Amino acid sequence: MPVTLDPRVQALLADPATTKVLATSDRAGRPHAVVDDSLHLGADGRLVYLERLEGSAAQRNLVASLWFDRPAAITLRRGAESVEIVGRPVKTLVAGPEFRRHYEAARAQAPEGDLAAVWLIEPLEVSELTYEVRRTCQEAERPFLTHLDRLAR
Amino acid sequence: MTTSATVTPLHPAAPGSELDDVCERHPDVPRLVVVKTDVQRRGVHYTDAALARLDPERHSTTGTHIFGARDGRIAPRPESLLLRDGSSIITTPTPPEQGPYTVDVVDGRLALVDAGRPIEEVDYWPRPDYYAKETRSGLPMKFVVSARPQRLNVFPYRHCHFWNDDEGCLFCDIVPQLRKGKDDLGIPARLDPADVAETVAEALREPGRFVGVCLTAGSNTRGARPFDAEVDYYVEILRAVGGAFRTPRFPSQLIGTAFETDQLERLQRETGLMSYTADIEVLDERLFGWICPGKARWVGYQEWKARLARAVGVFGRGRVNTGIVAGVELARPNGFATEGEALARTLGEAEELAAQGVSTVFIVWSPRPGTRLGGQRNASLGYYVALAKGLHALRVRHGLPIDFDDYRHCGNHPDTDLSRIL
Repeated sequence: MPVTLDPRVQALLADPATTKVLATSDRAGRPHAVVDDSLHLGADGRLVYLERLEGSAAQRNLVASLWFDRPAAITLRRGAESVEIVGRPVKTLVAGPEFRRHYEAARAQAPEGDLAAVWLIEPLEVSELTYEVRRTCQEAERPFLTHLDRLAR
Repeated sequence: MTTSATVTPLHPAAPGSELDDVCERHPDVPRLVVVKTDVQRRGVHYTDAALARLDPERHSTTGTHIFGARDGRIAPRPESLLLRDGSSIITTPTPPEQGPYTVDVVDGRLALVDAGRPIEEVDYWPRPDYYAKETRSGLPMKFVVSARPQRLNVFPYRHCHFWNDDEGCLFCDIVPQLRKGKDDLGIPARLDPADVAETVAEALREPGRFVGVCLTAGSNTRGARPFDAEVDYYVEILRAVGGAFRTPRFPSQLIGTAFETDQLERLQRETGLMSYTADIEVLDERLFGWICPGKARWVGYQEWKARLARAVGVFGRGRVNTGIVAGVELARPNGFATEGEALARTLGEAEELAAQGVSTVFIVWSPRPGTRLGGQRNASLGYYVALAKGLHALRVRHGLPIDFDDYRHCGNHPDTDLSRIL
C-alpha cells in the first residue's frame, strides 16, 4: 500500500543540501546505485526521478522494476540525518506536458544535457537511517547485539 | 492472381483467461508487453466515456495512416495508446463483435478493460504542437508528417506499384487507404519535399518530443533499374528532412523496398539516413511467393534476403532489419498448418539473417477489411509471445542492437520492447 510521506521526509526531499541516492537492481539481482539531485516529491505524493540517459543502468533497472513489480530504494541524507524510502516504480513519462516541463528545466540547467524519462515512484515504506536514532533504538530493543567493552566500567 | 480467403469471425471472444494463462506460462516476459501484444492482436473499442476524454487540442487523433483501421472507417478517434512503461500500443478501432479490448474510464482514469475486468491504465498520445499548423502551401502539417509519442512518420508516397499488376501484398490495404486519405482528408498521394522540410523543422521546435524520423512509402518499380525512382524520391525527401538538422546524420529509419547495393550506397552517401529496413513480411519462400507476389516477382525471396545482408555492409551491424507481419504465415489456405511449424520456420530463417547482421522484428498481423486476407484470424497470444522471445534471443545471441527500432523509435514491436532491460 502506498504511504504518504510525513513533513520531515518531504522537507528532506525538498532541501537542496540533501544527498539523494537511488538504488535499483537488475533482473539477476546485480545492485546499482546513483546519487541524483533530481529526486523530488510530485504533486500527487509520488516520488519523481528524472533519468537523463536512456541507456543507463538505472533506466534499465527501473524498467525491470516496473515490469516485474520489484521495488527500488531511495536514501536521503542531510548531515547526520538519514532516511530510506522503499518504493515501487509505477509509471514513466516519455512525452506530454509533464515530461516537457521537466525536459525544458533540465535543458535550461545543462544546455548539452538530455532527459530520457520521468519516473514516478510510489512510496511504500519509510525507514529511519539516522545512526544515532538507530543505535538508540537497537540498544533498547536488541541488547544482545552490542560489544561488551562498550558496557564495561 | 490471388483469391480472397473465407471470412470467419475474428477471435469470437473467450477473453480474459488467455492473457492470464500466457503470462503464467511466460513469467520472463513482462505482463505489460503481453498486454500490449494482445491489444495489437485483438484491437480496441472505445466507449463513449473514453471518447469524451479525447481532446483534439491535447491528444493525437487519427491522421495520415497509410494502412487502415479494422473497422474500415476514417474518423477522428484516438490515434493510439500509451502504456505506463512509456511504450505505445499501435492498434486500431475494431468492431465489438470481433472481441476487442474496451477502452473505458475506470475510477476516473482511462483503462483497458476485458470482459468487464480493468486490465491496465492507458493514456492517449499527446498531440504535438505542429499538428495545429499549416504549411505555406496550405496543407495541415498533421497530414504531411504524423507523430507517434517520440517518432516522426513521413509517408511521402502513398501508392504501391505492385498493386498496378494486382500484386500487392495480401495483408495490405495501402491503395484503398490512399484513396480514402485523398478523398476524405485531401492528403496528396505524393508529398512535396518542401512541405515535408517545413513540417519537420516545425516539429523539431517542440522540446524533448521526438527521437527519430521514419520514412516509408509504397514500392515504386519505375526507373532505369527497378526502384530507381523510389530511391530518387527518398533521396529528395531525406535531403529535405536533413535540412532541419545541424548534424550531417540524424536518427532516422527508411523502410523501403530491398534495394541493390549501389542504391543503398547512394542513400547512405547523399542523405543523413542512419538505418535501413526492408520488410520481407513472411519468412518462408513458398509463402512469400503467395503473400507478397509483387515483391516475389520484382526481387524474389532469396535476393531479398541477400540484399538485406549486403545492406549491413552499407549501414552497419545493428542498423539493418526486416519486418514480418506475424500471423500471416498461418493464413489460409496456404499457410502453415500449425503454430509450432510456423514458429520454427520463422525463427530458423530469422537466425540465418541474424548471423549476417540483420535483425528481424515483427508486427502483429491485423486482418483488415479491404485486404485479401481480411476476415481471417491472426495467431494466438502464446504464439506472439513465443515469437517475441525468440527474436529477442536471436539479437542477444548475435549481439545485434536494435536502438533504431525500439519502443521509442517505433513502439510496434513487442520483441524489441524486450531489449529495454538488456
